[in-house]
Amino acid sequence: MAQCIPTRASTNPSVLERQRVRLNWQQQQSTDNTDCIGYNNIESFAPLSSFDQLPKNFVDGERSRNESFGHVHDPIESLGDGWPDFSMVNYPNFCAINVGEKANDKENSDSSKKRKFGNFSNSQQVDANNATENSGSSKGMKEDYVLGERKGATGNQKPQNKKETSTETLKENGKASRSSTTTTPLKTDYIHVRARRGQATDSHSLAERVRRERISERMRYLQDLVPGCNKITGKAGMLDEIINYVQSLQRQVEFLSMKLAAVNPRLDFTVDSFFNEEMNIACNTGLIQGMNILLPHDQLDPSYIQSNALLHQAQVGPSSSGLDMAMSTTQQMTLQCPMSAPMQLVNTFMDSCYNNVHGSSSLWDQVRLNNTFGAHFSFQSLQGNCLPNNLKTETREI
Amino acid sequence: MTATGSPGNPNPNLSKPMLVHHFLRALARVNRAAPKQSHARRSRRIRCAAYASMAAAAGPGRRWSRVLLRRLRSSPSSHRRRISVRVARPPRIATASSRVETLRRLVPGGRSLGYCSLLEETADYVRWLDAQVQLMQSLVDFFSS
Repeated sequence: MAQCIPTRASTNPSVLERQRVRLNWQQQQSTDNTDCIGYNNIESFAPLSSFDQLPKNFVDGERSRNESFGHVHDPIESLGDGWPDFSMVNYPNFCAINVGEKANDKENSDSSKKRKFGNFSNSQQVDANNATENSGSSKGMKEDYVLGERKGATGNQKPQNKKETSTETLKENGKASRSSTTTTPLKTDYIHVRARRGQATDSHSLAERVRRERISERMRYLQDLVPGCNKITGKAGMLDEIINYVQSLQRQVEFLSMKLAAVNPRLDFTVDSFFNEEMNIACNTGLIQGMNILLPHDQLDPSYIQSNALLHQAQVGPSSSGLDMAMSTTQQMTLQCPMSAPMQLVNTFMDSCYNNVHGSSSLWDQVRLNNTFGAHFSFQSLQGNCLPNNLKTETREI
Repeated sequence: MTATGSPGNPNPNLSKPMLVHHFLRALARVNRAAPKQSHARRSRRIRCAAYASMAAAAGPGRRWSRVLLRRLRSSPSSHRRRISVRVARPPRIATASSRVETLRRLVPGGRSLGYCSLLEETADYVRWLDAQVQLMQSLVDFFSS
């Protein structure tokens, strides 16, 4: 019988399907009488306003129907586009009173984030709401299916509506002003948000609250990053600290670059020979074997693959254009100690750089490092000569 | 550096090997041409190389890295001082908006960001800056020992 629902031009077909589903659920759970009535009404439903004919005895529906409704609504939730016409559509009132209590219990549960589709709770004032809505609805689509209250609903798409006392919302378009007060009317909201008790529930304040929470979350993260910020509370002090820290870091970069410019020319960067002899053999055997373990690392940005290609090329090719940098330092090291295994080479190189950097960061575990490089080396499928130029352009100097 | 990323971070872990890779490569390139150049020019090149390697290692997922790379590549010949450190003296009464403005100036690409995104970019930028400074410090220590 569900199939004979005509689709109105002005009504979203999905809305009708939803109601159909709902009524199906209802049928399964409730007594026959009301179900039949509900269904009949739907069947004869050319205009949506025919829902007005639904008997008010839906109001006394069982609580179980409510719960079943929770399931029903799952597919509904995704139908964001279908809601616009639905502004005045009400769900069956059967969940009214019992649900009201249930919803009242849920009032105090708070979460202020969005898009939670709870089972909707109907208000005890369903009838009153219906009455008011029926009278004041702008759409004339008021049904006895109380979806929520729509006071002064205009069908404009306000994102959120928050009722102080209601904690469950339904997807619906339009802004529901808080006319139904104490009990828990259905909140017809476009986005499911839960407001805490006693908090403002209009869309602006809700969005503001979300935004404030995001900002505070980021400020907390920054507080962890910037040393010495634990005692500072307040946005202004934090911002000052952050600014000072960024400036000091930039100054340090400048200073260290000057020092490096002074220090570096003393080093011998003739890596090519070193690279060819050592890395070719060693890397091709040891490193590659060690690296085949690896799962692809999550850092698969192109630069990684390019660096892998470069490393690969450096291993096999005579032109070690890319890896001068790595090999320079390694050469220094190998001047003292003959290179035994490629793994050792990589490790010592990394260690010399990173032991100063991090005392015991897990990131600098040898295993981790090996794995990291291994993951890259596992992309050996890349041809050796690919992408050296890309790498160069990435860090082109001025 | 903690392994946890900032909220919404595309890359929760700093890839320091990449940083080392890029920076050392760039250093080597600078030093190949080094002897002929003045110390000042070399140091500027190294500073640009530091920022470039930082941006390259951070990847294109961040606005600051994209802006930095674009800046560095766009006019290699002109001696851009855009990256130079200017100690922004905060006004005597540093209002919140002026602080935010200062932060916008400090973080690359921060001019067109909203406040929330600006904080996120700042966090990421600080992480990478920290890593870069540590790398350079360790290099200096290594080379001077």
